[in-house]
Amino acid sequence: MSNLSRYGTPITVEYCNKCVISNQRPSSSVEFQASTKDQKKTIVFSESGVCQPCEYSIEKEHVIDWSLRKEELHRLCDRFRSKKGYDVVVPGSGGKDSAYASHILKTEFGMNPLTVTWAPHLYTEIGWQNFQNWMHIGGLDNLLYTPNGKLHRILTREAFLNLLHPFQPFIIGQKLTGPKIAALMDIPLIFYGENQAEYGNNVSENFSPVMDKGFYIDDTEFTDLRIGGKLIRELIDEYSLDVREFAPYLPLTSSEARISDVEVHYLGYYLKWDSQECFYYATKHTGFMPNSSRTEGSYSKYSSIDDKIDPFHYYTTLIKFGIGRASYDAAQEIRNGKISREEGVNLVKLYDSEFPSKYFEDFLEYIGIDAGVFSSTVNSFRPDHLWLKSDSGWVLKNPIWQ
Amino acid sequence: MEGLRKVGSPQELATKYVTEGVDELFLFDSVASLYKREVMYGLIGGLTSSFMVPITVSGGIKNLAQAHKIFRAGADRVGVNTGAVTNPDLISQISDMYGSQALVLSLEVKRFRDGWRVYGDAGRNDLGFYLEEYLLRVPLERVGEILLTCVDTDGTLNGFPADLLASLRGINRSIIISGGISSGEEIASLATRNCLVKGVALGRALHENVVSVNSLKFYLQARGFEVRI
Repeated sequence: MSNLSRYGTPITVEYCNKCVISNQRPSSSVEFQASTKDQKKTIVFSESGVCQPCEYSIEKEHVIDWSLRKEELHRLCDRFRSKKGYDVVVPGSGGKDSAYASHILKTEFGMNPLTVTWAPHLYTEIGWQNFQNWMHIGGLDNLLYTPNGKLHRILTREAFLNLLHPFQPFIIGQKLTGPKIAALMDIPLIFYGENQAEYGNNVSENFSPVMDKGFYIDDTEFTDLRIGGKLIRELIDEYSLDVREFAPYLPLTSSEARISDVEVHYLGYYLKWDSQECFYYATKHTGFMPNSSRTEGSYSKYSSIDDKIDPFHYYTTLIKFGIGRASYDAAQEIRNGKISREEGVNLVKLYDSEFPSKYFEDFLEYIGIDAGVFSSTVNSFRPDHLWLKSDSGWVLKNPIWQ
Repeated sequence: MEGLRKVGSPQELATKYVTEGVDELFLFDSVASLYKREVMYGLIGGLTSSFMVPITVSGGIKNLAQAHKIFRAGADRVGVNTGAVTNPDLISQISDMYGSQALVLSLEVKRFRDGWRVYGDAGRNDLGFYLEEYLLRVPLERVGEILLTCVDTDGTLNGFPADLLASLRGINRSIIISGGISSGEEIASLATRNCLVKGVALGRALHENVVSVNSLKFYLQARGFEVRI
């Protein structure tokens, strides 16, 4: 019998000794290659039962010389700073992290950033307001790239039904928009915020300032790339689509990337990243405001608040991996010393499994399914090693609080 | 009430502010209701045995038994917010037992286009009422004071919204205001606008040394306000 689940995650659930993340946490992957049979790489735990992000947080606090890293950033900016026009692309939504990254690059490092935004599926009121404030109060230029809504709905629906990953088409665009706009406008430097390795990818990525090019460059014949678990050529046939409509979702080819020699860096490599401090910075400098109420599935009201579909991303990670929004938020706050593990465990117990009812109707309408299809699809993706059907409904077999 | 920071130990900060001359300490476990955790009686006992100034404790108080334990731990007053909605009898119960002077109604309010809404759980959950509507429901004669916190400005140092005070017209209870206040000029202006404003509660402005207790008191005294020096 295999010791891995249908998703490639370990069938024995373990939790990090320091935070609340479990060994089910998948690493970020190249989304335009994802198929229905994918086996996920997962977060690595040390022999003493501590996850790599927690170990890295100790390095962040005690080992890394952040003044040297800052000097390195100054040198990098010196190398790319232009006398005229834009010299760096900062992809983002105008949330606290991208607001911080773009504003500090402009005001402290003398860069002239062009911020680019891959539009959310359905803007929330607060998301739109923060997006507007980013430019109007933060004083930054922005390009908003909104994909064809009809196609984006089809792809989101396919990604939900085939992968239980409705956010996949958004994530594809989110990772590609920066490099593609940079290549198009001949801006050779791109800055994302924190490195995704801080949350669960292989920790060695934290020691490199640049993003793995596999996330945005691919020379595969594009009709053989996959979105929503289907080959692009299958989607073209099934929905009578024009091949050119897929332009926003296609990675750069090596030759396109080489022309402008795009470099994609993480600001979190150079500046010590702390989401709460980004929040304070953004409220002060770019007019960022938290939501008016707690985000369903968590206890916070300031992260990932711009898209009505966003709560379903975290709900589906809860179903497939047993890790919901509160787990991600609490793990990060424990690592940054904001809350204790005991508090984090309690918050996960209280909020992680909360159903996102506020935008449920919007979500169903957006992808054109009814509540019955939603429910049967969700249940078909619950792995046996995580979920048990009891008289009171589905319950986690090994929750962190037991 | 978001992006919470650890600013230090309550014991050390309380010592600092008492030495500087604060009139009263508010010990507010801002996330107790959100985290659904028990009141920290041990911490309260440690503080009340150390200081002579009155101490008001709030955060996560849901029933009379908890209030009773807080008073036994030496607190002078308790503050209730979310608990007054989840347990509508709570205000009367505490007031019957300890008197209205021992009870502070803590209100977290947030601005919307059509008015101020009352919030609980550390400014995260709408409790279902507009401020004016809520003040009519609550037995105000049973509370000693109102602690009014603006969720939008709390922790920002950007100033308390003066127009919020207009919503309290007709209320005959002393009011302590909180949320974004950071200067003597602002306090003087707010207290002049509404004679029921009897005090201000400061957090970040003191924790980050934006102002000091002494400088505020001298500033206000010089402008004719009644302050204890």
